[in-house]
Amino acid sequence: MITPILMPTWGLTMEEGTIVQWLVDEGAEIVIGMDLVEIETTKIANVLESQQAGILRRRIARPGETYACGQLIGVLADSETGDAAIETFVGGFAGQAATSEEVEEMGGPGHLDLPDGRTIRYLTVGDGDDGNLPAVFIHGFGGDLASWQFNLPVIAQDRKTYALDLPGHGGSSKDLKIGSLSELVSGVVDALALLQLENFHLVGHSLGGAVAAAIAIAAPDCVATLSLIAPVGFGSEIDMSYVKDFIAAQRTRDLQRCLGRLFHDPAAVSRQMADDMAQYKRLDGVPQALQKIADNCLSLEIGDDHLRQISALPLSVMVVWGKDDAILSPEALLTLPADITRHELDEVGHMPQMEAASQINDLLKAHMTKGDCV
Amino acid sequence: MPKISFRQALNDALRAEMRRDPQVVIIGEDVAGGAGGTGIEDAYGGIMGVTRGLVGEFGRSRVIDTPITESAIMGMAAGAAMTGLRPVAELMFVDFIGVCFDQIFNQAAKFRYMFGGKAKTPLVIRAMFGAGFNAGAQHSQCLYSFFTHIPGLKVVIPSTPYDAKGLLIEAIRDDDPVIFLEHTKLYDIEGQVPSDSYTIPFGEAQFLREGRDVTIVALARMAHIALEAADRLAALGIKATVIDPRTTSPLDEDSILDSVAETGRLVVVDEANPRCSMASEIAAIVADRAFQSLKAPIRRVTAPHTPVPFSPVLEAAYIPSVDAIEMAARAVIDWRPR
Repeated sequence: MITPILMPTWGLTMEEGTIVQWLVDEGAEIVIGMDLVEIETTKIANVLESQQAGILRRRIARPGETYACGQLIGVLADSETGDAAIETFVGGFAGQAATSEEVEEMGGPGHLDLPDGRTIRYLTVGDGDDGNLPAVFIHGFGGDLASWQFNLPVIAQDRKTYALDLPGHGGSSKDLKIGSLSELVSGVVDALALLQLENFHLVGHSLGGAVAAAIAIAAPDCVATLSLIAPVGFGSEIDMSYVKDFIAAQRTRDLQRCLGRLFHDPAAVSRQMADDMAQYKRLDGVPQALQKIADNCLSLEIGDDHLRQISALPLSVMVVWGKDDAILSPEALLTLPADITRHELDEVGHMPQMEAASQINDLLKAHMTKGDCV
Repeated sequence: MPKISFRQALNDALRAEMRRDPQVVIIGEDVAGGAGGTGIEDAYGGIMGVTRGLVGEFGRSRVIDTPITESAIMGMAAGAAMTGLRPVAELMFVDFIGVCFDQIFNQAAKFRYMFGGKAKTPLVIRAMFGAGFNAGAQHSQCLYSFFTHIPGLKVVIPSTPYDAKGLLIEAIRDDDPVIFLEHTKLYDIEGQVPSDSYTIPFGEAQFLREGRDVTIVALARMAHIALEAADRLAALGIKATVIDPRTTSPLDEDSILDSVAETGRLVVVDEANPRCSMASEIAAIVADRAFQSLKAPIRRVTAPHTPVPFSPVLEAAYIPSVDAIEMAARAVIDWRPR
């Protein structure tokens, strides 16, 4: 039984990693979870843990060498496997390993050119070979598709996943006409059309939840299930002081403080996270785009109508939120109609998909699997 | 996100700002010329190619080659800035400030103050600095502490292509005189840089690495050398925080103080000569404001108090090395009171 050790993909933008040093020798007995090799990317250095048990038969990659994600860097096997078999495996694998271009084609971030000249960035994870309906993920205000980094790889075990950057956000174009909900919705709808997605599960967080709900209401035949995480637009009051502070913050330190309010535990906001957010916020046009959305979308009553309309839809709806959400007061969500599945998570703030990723993943998987059968 | 060189990041920043604002002009020796031009114009684009191609797009009224007279360049730029343009003036080597320092520190730096706020001097002065090219004593110095000393000047020292583009755009948009210094050994390094324009605020340090055992503050090219030292220290089980201040005026004191509050140990790495250096300044600030947090004296790793040697062997010995930084870090960690 031969197991390949591959250059991992950490986060959504990693394309390659450099070996810093191996932490175990050839011939060592490896158990699951053991630290194997230290790898450095442009963003972080991290240790790859072993996913399997066995003997480390081959350390192929050497310190200082750079490999694309998915390439073979080592081989695990049991002690009975002969060296010749290992050689054959390595030789054969090298031919099959994806080059970095192929890895990018398979699912690196791509850009869609919308008819009106805007662009939307998107990411796909998973190959959809299972034949299940794909899932589309829409992030919230000020975020981007990386909000789903702990969810996509898991959901992708069952189905192909797509995550989009809303207009004005992430890698999508930043110019907005007025920043209304319908402008955001039309951008997403155009992107889905270009991706040729006609039937899918839809997941939305916060403002992305309002967008997802609007899409489901407008085109219920396209949406198999609707999962809303801490969604805006269901009668909850938004803490607009957070929105104001977020838009105004330009320094990493201020952003770190501001972002802390999103989480049950403010210490969850690392300097790297705040720095990544600062890099987005400092792009020309971003504060203006966010202000337009704040003025013409978040400040308006998106509609308690949504509640009635959502219940009336012929598709399964699930709403999840964190009990300690400081951005959206959850009280309104407690009054959802009974036919909407709801889950309130303890010790979780406004970012359940990151704070309680495994719980969210379990809930999403179960919800979507039920929806596949209908 | 595209991966481009430090040089290209600067070129992109200049081009983007010149497109956005017709008041932005470039003045300096050999700044015109570049790919796509004809004859003499093909040959230059600045001696390191930073302004390549700009005269082709913007013409000689906005990309101005000057005679070899720094005092005239800086005087012209300071006056132009006060009367409505936004000049980016190039001082080919920072070592040349001697012949134009009055225009910089007595004129441009003080106009706003001395005219009671009625004068605005949106001037950027770009200059190369740093050793490692065997360019000799008069073409290899790090003189940022001279500028940092002067009230009225902002001083920027990027260490990565991402920082270079964002800080130069911020400098051009800033209404005060900004000294923008580029280390000659960094022009070819590459990094991911957004194609769109963006800014980086002054007075915000970058944390390149985080670790609880020792804080290493390192300027410009020294940030990269410090990261190598941090790798070596990590192999010894010592986790270092590496901070690149990015701007020396304003200086992000809070980030340095917060880090020292956590680690208790500080090493400052500065390629400049030691006396009255940024290394000394940062050490003094920390000794003053974070005394209670310190578990060991502060160590400064700098060049020696000599001119930059021309001999390759001596120049290599002059520049702070990975070994020197590693030893200083280990010294502050091993230090015990007697």
